[in-house]
Amino acid sequence: MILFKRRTFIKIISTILVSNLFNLRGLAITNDILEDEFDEIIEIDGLITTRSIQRFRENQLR
Amino acid sequence: MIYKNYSLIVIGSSHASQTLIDSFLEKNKKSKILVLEGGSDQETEMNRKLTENTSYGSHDSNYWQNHWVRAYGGTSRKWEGWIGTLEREDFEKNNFRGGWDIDYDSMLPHYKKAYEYYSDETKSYKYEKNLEYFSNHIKFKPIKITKAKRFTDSNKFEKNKQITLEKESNVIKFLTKNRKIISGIEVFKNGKTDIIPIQPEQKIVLAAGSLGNAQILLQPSSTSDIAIGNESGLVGKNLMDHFQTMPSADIIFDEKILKHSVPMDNFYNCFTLSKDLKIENELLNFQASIQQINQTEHMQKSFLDEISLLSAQWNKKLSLGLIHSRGEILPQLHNCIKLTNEKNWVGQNKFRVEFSYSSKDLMSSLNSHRKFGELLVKNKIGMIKIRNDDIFRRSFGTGHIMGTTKLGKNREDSVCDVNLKHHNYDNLYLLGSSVFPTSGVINPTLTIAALADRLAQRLNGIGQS
Repeated sequence: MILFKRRTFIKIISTILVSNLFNLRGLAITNDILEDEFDEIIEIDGLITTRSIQRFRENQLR
Repeated sequence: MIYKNYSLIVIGSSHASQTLIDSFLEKNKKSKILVLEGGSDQETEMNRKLTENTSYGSHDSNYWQNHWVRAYGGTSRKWEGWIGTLEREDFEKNNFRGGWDIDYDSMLPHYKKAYEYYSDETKSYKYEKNLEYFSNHIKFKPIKITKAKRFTDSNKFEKNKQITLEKESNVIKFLTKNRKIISGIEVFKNGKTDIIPIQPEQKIVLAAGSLGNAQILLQPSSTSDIAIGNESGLVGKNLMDHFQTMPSADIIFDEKILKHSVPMDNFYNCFTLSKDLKIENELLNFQASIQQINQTEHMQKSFLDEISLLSAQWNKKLSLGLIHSRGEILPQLHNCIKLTNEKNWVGQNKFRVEFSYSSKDLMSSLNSHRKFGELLVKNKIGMIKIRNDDIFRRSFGTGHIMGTTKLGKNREDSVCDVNLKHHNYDNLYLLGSSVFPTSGVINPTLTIAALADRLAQRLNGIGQS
C-alpha cells in the first residue's frame, strides 16, 4: 500500500515536471493519470461508460 | 433390387451427405453407394407434412418445420451461405460445459477441405486476429460470405454409376437382432413399408438432420421398450439453436477497429471475446458484428448526444453503428425432442419439441456486451449502449438446429463416438449438426462439411481416432 502510494506520487510529480518541461498543461495530464488509475466503469440504463465521462457529460449539460 | 452390393448406405441427401460422398469417392473408385432420400426433387405438400411437430418454448412448431426440409438437397435449399470455423475454445471443455473430445488442430485439414468445397478462397479459413488495442481480450474473426451453395441437382448423383439415389424413400427406423449390428432398415416407399436387409460389413450413415436423425433413432421398437439407437437414453436431448439479437446495442466507435488485413468485401466482420476473458467471467461464446450507419434515425435517441461528447473529450473522429450479436447456448438435457403417439403418413411417430433459451444463455450475452463495452471505453475507442430489453425479449433463433445425438468418448453421456460411430452399433454412423456437443456461435455449415470429410476418411480406413 505504501509502495503504491509512493509510486503514484512519484508518477504524478514526474508528469508535472515533464509536462512543464515541454510547456504542456500539467494539470490536465495529471488529471488523466488520476482518471486512468481511479476511473470506474459504470452502467447507466445499458450505457457502458466511466465515471469521468459521466462527470464530463454532466458538466456539458449544465 | 440387390442391396448387398452397396458398401455404404447414406440416409439423407443434404450437403452433409454430398460432402461425405464426394470426399469418400475421391479415395474409393470401386465402392457402390445407396442414397435414401425421403423427399423428391421439390418440396411437396405431402412431404412438408412429414416435418410437422408440436412445440413448447421459445419457438413455435412452424419454426422447426421451416428449418428442416424433406427434399433432395435438404436445408441447403434454404441456408444463406455464411461460413466460418468454430473456435478452438468451442472444442475445449471448461468449468461450465463439456467439450468435443476431438482435438481442434486435427479438424483444421478437414476445415480447409470444407472451405475449398464452398469457396474459391481458402487463405482465410482459419483467420483470427487478436486485437492489440483491446489487450488481446477481443478477437477479430471474420465470416466468409459465400454464394449459398444449393444442392438441388439430383442428376449429379444419377449420372454417377457408383451412386444409386432412391428418392421418396422415407426411412422409418432401424432393425437389429443383437443390438450390436443394424440388420435392416424399415423404409416407406411407393405406398408401402419395405425392409432393406443390411449385412454386417455394410456401413450406414444417418444424415437426416438434427431433428430427422433423432426422430428415426427414437422410433419405438416392436420387440423392446428401448428404441433401436437410443440405448443411451440421450437421443433427442441437448437440442441447441443459436439465438441472435439484431440490433443488440448502439455503438460509437473509432473506425480502426474495422480495419484489418482481410479483404472485407467478402467478409462479414465479427468480434469474439478471448478465451481468458470468457473463462474468467464464465461467459459462453459470443459474436458481435458492427454495422456502420450514417443515418442516426436508427439510433436510440438518448445515445445520440454521446458522439459529440466523446469526440470532443477523446479528440477523435468517431462513427456510429449498430451491434448485431449472436450467442452460444448451453447444451441442456431438458431442451429436447420427444415422440408423440400420433403417426405421420409414412407410419412414423411424430414428435414434440421442448426448447427454451435459458437465463444463463441470455445473461451470458448481456455480460459479454458489458465486457465488450468496458474494453471499448477503457481503451478510448468507443462506447456502447446495450439494448437490454431486446436481448431478453426480442432475441430470435437462427435455424441452426444442433445437438440431439452428441458425440463423445464416454458412452454414458453421448450417443456416438469421436469417429461418429454409434456407441452400440458397429455399422451405424451419425453425421450432421446433430453430433455437435457444443454450439459455438458460428454457422454450423462448415463444421458439418468438415465432419463429413473426416468421416469419409474414417470410412476409407484413414486416420481412426
